[in-house]
Amino acid sequence: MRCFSWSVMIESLFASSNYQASKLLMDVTAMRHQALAGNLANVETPGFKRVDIDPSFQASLNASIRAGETESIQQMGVPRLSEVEGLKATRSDGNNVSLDRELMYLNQNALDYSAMGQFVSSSLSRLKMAITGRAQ
Amino acid sequence: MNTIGNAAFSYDNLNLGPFSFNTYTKGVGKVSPRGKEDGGFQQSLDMKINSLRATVSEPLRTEGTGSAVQDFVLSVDAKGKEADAMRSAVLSGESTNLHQTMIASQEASVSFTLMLEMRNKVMEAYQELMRMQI
Amino acid sequence: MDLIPGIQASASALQAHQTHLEAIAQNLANAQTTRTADGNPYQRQVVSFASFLDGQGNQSVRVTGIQSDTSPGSTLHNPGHPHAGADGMLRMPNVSASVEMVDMISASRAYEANLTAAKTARQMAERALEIGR
Repeated sequence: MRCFSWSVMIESLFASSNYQASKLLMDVTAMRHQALAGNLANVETPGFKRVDIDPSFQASLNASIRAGETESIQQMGVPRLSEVEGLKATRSDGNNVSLDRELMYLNQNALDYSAMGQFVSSSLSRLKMAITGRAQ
Repeated sequence: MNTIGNAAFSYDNLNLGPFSFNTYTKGVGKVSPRGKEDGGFQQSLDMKINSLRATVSEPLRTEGTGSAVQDFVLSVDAKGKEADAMRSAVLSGESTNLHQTMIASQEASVSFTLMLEMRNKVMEAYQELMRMQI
Repeated sequence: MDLIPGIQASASALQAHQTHLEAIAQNLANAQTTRTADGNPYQRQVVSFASFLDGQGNQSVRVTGIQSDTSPGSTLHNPGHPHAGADGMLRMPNVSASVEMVDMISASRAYEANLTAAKTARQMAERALEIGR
């Protein structure tokens, strides 16, 4: 007969890899918004190079999501922000921020943030429904 | 050993905490007016108790912190304290992580709801047992 | 400090570009000023920006100075003008309306973009508050 720890039950409630990934992605998109806002603020600053989330972070997060590994998702810390490589300067003073592109990224990112919030909300309300058997 | 009319039963002391069946099984041995139907009733009671034994894999008390129920309550409480800490960090201005604070308080609420529902189920089961016709 | 992400960066940019727009407006207003207090024609004002990292990791921007553009303006032959020199040449300010208009367009676009960023950030924070509701 297997030993049953009742405290593990609480953690296993929230152990879905999709749920943990959505929580992490809320952090990531919030941080990305900060980076994009900084880029937009410096759109006229000479020599400024745009900054974004490290692409390796997104790659490893995607791999963990596809594999469904909840623990590795929970272990992932906050992503790093770094200067984007290989981007040509749009102006003669070396600034490589394009206003329209930055605005496009900003809008997409805001939608991602809302979508992740929605996903987390619906996961939690589904859990509540499963526990109480009532819709609210 | 389990003859009808005999008040003594040889059922083991099922360690089910507050739902100890000892008190019930002792009462079953009383004289009943129905004739051979009592044998069938006894068999069905046997089966019921065996199935209950199968579902309860271990007694409610464990070693360790002394009680699994206490472990459970402590972990629910820990989640609640975590949510409170995040909330006070936001209030004092140390933290800017609004979404994680909201998520933490929702998770604490879900854990608490789980504890509440389990308590309700346990109380229902206990009351149903109390009402069980002999 | 900020519940709204990146608001410090956006606010600093709004302030910086506001200053730039004011300088441009001043240049345009003084495009014909042939003599200022120091006796010379008006010199175009140039605003310079620099980025800096604030306490919360926001890349903000600030105005590091408003300098005069020392390049000489055009000279016109206008002996009748009271400010004309002995040779009849009148020194004009080095303000070119087309250059200022282009600067004004890019400064106001940058201002609008940062305003959008601030609004978007506020909407994101409001969505975060609706989690679980």
